[in-house]
Amino acid sequence: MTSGLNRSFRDLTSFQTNSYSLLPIRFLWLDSDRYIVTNLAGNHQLLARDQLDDLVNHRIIPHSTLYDDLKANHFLADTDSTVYQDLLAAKFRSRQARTSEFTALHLFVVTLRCDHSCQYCQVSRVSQDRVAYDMTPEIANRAIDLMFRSPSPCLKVEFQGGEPLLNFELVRHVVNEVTRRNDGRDIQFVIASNLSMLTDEILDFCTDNRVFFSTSLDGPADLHNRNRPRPDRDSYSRAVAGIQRIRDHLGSDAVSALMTSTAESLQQPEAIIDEYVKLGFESIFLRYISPYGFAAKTATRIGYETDQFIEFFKRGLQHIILLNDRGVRMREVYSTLLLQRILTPYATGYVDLQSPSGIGISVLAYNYDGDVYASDEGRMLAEMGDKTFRLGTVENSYEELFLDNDLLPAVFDTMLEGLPGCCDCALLPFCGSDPVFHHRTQGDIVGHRPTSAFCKRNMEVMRHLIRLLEDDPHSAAVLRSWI
Amino acid sequence: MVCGETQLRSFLICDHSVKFVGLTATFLHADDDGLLAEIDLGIYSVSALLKVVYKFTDRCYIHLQYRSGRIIEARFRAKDPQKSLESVAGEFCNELLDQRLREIVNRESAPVRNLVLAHALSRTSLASLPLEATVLTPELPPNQSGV
Amino acid sequence: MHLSAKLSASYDAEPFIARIAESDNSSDRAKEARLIRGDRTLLPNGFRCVLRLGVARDSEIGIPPTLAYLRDGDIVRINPRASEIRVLYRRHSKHNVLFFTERCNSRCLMCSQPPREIDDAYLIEEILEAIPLMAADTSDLCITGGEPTLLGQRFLDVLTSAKQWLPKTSLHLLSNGRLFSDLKLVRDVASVGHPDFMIGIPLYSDVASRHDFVVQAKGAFDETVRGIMNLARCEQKIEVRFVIHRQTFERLPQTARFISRNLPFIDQVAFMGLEMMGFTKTNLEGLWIDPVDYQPQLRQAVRELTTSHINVMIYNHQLCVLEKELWPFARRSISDWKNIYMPNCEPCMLRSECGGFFSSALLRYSRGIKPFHQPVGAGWYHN
Repeated sequence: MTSGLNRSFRDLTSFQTNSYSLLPIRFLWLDSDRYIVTNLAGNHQLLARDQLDDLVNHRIIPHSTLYDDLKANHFLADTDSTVYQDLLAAKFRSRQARTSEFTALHLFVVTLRCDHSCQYCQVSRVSQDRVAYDMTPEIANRAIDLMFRSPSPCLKVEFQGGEPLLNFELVRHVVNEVTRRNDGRDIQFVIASNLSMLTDEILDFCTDNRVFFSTSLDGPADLHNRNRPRPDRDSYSRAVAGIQRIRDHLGSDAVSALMTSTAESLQQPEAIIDEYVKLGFESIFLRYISPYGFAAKTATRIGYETDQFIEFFKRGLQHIILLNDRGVRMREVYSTLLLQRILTPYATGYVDLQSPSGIGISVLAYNYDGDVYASDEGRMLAEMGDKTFRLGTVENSYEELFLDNDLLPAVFDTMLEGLPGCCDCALLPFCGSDPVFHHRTQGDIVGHRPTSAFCKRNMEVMRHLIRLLEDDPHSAAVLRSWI
Repeated sequence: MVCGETQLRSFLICDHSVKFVGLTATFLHADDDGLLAEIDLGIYSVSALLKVVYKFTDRCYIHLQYRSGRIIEARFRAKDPQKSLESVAGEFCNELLDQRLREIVNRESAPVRNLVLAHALSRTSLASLPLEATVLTPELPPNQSGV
Repeated sequence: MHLSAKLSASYDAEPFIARIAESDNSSDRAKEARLIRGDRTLLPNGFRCVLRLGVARDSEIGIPPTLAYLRDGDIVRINPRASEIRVLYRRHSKHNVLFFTERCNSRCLMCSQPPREIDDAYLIEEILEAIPLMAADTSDLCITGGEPTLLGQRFLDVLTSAKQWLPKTSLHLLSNGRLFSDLKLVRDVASVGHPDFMIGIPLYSDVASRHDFVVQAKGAFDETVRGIMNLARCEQKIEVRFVIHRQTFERLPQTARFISRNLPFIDQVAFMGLEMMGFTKTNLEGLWIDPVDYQPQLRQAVRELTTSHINVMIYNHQLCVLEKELWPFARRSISDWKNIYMPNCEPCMLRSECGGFFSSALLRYSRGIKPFHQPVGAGWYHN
């Protein structure tokens, strides 16, 4: 007996069978000779073109390492096991699990007024007119009513603007009211603020009520101040001072930062990242500029091509990996989200990467004037005159908002499984739909994949990450440490 | 070049003309009016063809019409007349091959796919149990959409 | 350490279970064996029996010096006809085992306790008798076999009894998990509601046929995986166990990935070295691989699982054969009564940190065994 086992034991071959059937898979070229292959559950594996051809045409040598890998990955099945059906079903369902977080994020646009006049922002108004641009307590109360109709056990209340601190009285009112009415849910509060108006009184209130902050930080002082003009040209120093004060009062995790990339940003990913490191942040979101907030007249000045963004992203990611090598704690948020999808069986709750789209499902935005939108981008679009994503007003009932409109059924139609160009794409399990983006850029919420910047950007970023995971063990180890 | 099980589809592209190494009467042909492809519906289905041509709608205007019994003609015209259609020809053939593999996969795996999805989406036995409730909440910046 | 011994004489009586008493303070003498050391004269009344370490007198039972470690609260089984005594439970040990049965529905290549198809139903009855005698502060109990779940309702009875008498005791079941593919059994286990219960289930490959081969049972992989899923559905704590040997080591990393992709809800994964007992001895040439030679696979597997936030433990591996990266995962797990060190280990600085060997390892052990000496700078160096 060659195996070195006693003869009373049967050898491996007596447990094996010799024909296989294909399980549902999708594939997409990665580079000239390799394909990314994925299954329903988002397991992925790279195959050479001829291996793919062998797989599909039943020519994989039974029980070779490749065969076993494909079988364990649930790309093929043979007759010795059927449990892959249970496993695929469980994994597929886990991926869909975020629908149970139904409208988890509730945005309160408490004012449109702002002390900044950022070039990429279309919605804010530099104005003293409280009557015209502030949300009233009555509207807020109605919004709170609607929010508590949401079935989600975890609610995130985010204050948006304008600059929410210009109407802090209403922020205070909403926090107090939501806390008072909390029926046992886990509720988080976040103020999206430029921090220039931070006072000790505000900080004390936020400390007492565990209200966190999210601020804008576009990079080094020069770039930040150019992107985000305010009368004294001191946006940067105010933001930095605000970050420090919040950390002193509320703790180091109480403030996060977001960057918006303009054409100028694209030249200097390293400097932007270094700025985040310098200010003690441990993550950065190398974010594509959204086409919602900025006016057509400035679009040409600050806009850029998808290709340039991808280059920026790759350079930035490489820089962050180098920082990790030097022991600096820093990770890129978008990569982390995608890696979680690529490498783990879980769902992630990022609104812009869901299928069907997260809009209206994971987010509701209550605008200052009482209108209710299916997403933050949707209400920004409305400020530019396009109210496509308006669900109704706070005067409507929850049922009216969700059942009596044509928008949400259309959004459900953006499930990728049914979209041309998406239904066969190997990256589908990792991707999502962005109806607002496609509406804005292509005039229809489904969009045209071959010319979609969303599609191109996500495909290139995912291909890049998968190449790093596969071909660069060193970078792969860093990337894996982020998830 | 890759050959599928039929050995019919190998081709080479030189300059703007297309020479065929394979044995069938198909199928690519460059002229002053862009690129003309003849697709044998005995090999590729109409739906495979439609999915493939869709991918080229960024660069090309495409017209499809029946020529005879089982042959469909696809006419590609570049949106930008300055651009050569050479790469389109090559990619088109590869995409057709890929799409054919997809059809084999889809046909063969359809029963399992339906079974798994029915299983996954059913409300009975498995669906309400906590195994599937494991949702990872990533640490996102609280503001996902801009200040 | 010997867990059984011959009595000084035999006499005609049914086997019985008794708790050791070293004083006369007990109130439950009918269930106790009074232990007397040396030739002290005592006249204990009402005890089930009197055990004497030394020369037995009238109506006493003499036990040999190998059992001198017996202490108040330990539990023994005495079989007078066969003149045998067996130690079932030691009050101060963390390694107490409830041995349910020798029967099993698998026949693993490396089984240290080869199954026998016999009627040993008396074992479970004795366990049910012994549990109420155990100390309430017992920290751990391990249920093993054979395959304990084969006992069906009696298995559930033990869980219920353990919950009643030993609610603070961690209960660890070693099962092949196959019968848990029946959701009803799992629901029954869950409804017992034991407060600290974990089930250790082996999975030897990510490929069904390879796992089935290792456990020598067709269809076992499917049953085990369904069992694990059912247990997760009923919110039971699960440990996946993997014994590393020549037939399993190659797909260690892939198996880890399979676990993290398909069974991410499990609580921990334990990697184990071979114990040179039972079938492992029978199949030694087909199973042995020097642990030094599978370090790359083990490291990759551990990385895969830790990335997925799954706890990892490495059992039965000596520190000198493990890559340093893996040291934090090594556990001292070998039951005290079968734990030894090699002569080579005598001068080792890290002996007290190291799990050492099963006593059976004398048969074969790694060529990588070397003592650690004084530290040089920040690290340790080999002899």
